[in-house]
Amino acid sequence: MFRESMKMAWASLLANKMRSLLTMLGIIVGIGSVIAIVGVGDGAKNLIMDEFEGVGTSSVIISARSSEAEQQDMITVVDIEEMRNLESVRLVTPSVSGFGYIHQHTRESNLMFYGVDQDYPQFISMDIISGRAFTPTELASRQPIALIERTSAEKLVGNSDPVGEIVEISSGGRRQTVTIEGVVETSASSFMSMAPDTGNGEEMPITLYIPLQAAQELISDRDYFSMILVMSDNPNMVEETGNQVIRLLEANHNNSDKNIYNKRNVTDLLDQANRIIGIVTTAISAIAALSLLVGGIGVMNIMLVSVTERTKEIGIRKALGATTGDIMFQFMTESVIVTFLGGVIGVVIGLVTSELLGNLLGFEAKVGITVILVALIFSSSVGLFFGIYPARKASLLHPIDALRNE
Amino acid sequence: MPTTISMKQVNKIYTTGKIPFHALKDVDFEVEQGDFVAIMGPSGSGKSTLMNIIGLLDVPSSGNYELNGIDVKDLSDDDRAYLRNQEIGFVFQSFHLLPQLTLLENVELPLVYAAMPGRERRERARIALEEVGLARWQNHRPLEVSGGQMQRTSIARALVSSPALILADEPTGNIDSQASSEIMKLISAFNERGTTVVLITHERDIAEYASRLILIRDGRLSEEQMSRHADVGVDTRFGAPAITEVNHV
Repeated sequence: MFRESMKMAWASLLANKMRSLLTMLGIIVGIGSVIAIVGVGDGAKNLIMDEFEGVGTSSVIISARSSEAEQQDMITVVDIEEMRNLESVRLVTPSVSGFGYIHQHTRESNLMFYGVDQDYPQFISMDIISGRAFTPTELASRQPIALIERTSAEKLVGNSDPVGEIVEISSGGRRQTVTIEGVVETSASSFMSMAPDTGNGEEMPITLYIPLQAAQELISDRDYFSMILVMSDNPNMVEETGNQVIRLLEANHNNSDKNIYNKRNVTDLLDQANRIIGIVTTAISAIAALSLLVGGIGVMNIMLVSVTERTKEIGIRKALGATTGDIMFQFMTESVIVTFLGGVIGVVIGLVTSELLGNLLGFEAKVGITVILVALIFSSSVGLFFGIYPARKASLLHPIDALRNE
Repeated sequence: MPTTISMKQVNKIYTTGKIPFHALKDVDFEVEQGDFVAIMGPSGSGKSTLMNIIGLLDVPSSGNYELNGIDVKDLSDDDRAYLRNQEIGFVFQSFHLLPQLTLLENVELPLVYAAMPGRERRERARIALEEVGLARWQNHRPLEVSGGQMQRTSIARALVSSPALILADEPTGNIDSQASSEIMKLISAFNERGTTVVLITHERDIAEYASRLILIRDGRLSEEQMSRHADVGVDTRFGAPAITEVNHV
């Protein structure tokens, strides 16, 4: 009986190919978008996890809010020294970052540069892909040398090796000529490349790492830092260490009332990323649910049409001995097959979409087999639910009335 | 002889309209196993209603109906479906084959609902088609064959589950006269092999194939003695058989 019902349902689907496909559309869109968003979301989550593995969970990044911080609030060498004396602090490294331009031949590109010292790689992993790393002496100096981010190197010189390239960089009217000594992949690189632009319509800037002092010089002549990386002695005390450092800064700069300093740690960032992914997932899921609902109603509608069209067939089957249950089963099978097939097509489209989106955003989309199974079971359930009413209607037809129908 | 159909004081009253319609009035009717009974009557005489009740497609308003010894009064819809499947083979005027299925699949259909395994089912359906001379056409669809062939297919379908009763409702109504006589010979042949046949028709020459002729008019039955079977005595259960003006077409 089951195989017969499958066969009959299949035949009736093939008899109305276009109608069946249109009926499935809502289900396809619903399931497709769920699969796509789950694939992209999980892929992004994995990526962020991977990236921040290099940063470590015992680190906290403290920065002065640039919008509010004034000259006297900036972090100084004295602050750093005092932090190093805090008991819970294992390691502190200051950093500066700034925007500018990079001039190469006649071209000018946006630039984001980081001033780093010898301890920086302990916080953020920096893998040399070609060329060489800075020596500790270089890091402690203000030599005009730079490491370039892998993705930026591609942007700057294409497939050729940028090592040895001499470029001019500028920031706030100051200029500096630097030699690129190596290509580096940091734990932040692919995270950066996820964002196709900086948000103001411009391209992602070229990212360079230069010795801390050289960067400071480019920004201003003074020994200010816009950001410090602090490693706690105890991974469980990151929060507390961060607060201690902020209290110290506020005491030194006498600005505890202004809430100038901001701390972020990896866990915070992960939470934030998860929250964003969560919001997007919820929004898309709501659309998908709506689409499935509409799709389900569409299936119900078509099944009702089908029941009307096949009244005589139902009468014949009943005359030949089909029970109420047999007829019910036949029509339910048909609606479940429609939505199941819609689910299958949706899964395929969703997988392709998430793969494409992943490629576009520069990471690997991941859709687990569980998600696919749940999607298929869910789409079948839509057919089951919305098929009940038409099937019931079909099964309750009186054989005489049904046979009389021409 | 065991009794295939036994009706006592069966009435059918339709109450769907404003005025109740009395379609069958106190019908007493028996058909013994192996009988070949023709029921004749003009349209509106109640013969469709009688056929629906005999075929378990409808239920009497009052009275008693036993099919093959089973009182059908208290059966559920599904019980009646089961009994139709097991005991009755229908042959309809407009064939009622499913156009999307092949002739073989159409013949298999009653066995599908009898939950017979696929292989056995196909084998039996093939044999049934062979018996009506359509083995070569088994993979064609109904619309690809002639009316006579369609009706032979529906006879094969009616016989495939070896029912106690073949119920043929105007089986020759939609086919030409040559095919009609083939169909009637086929039905007679199966009757001779022991299958009970109830034939509903309004054509006297078709009714002549039967061994008993029942006339129905205004919901009442009467039996007419068959001229071909002069040795069969008049069944006085139905009163005077003096009906001569019947609907000869």
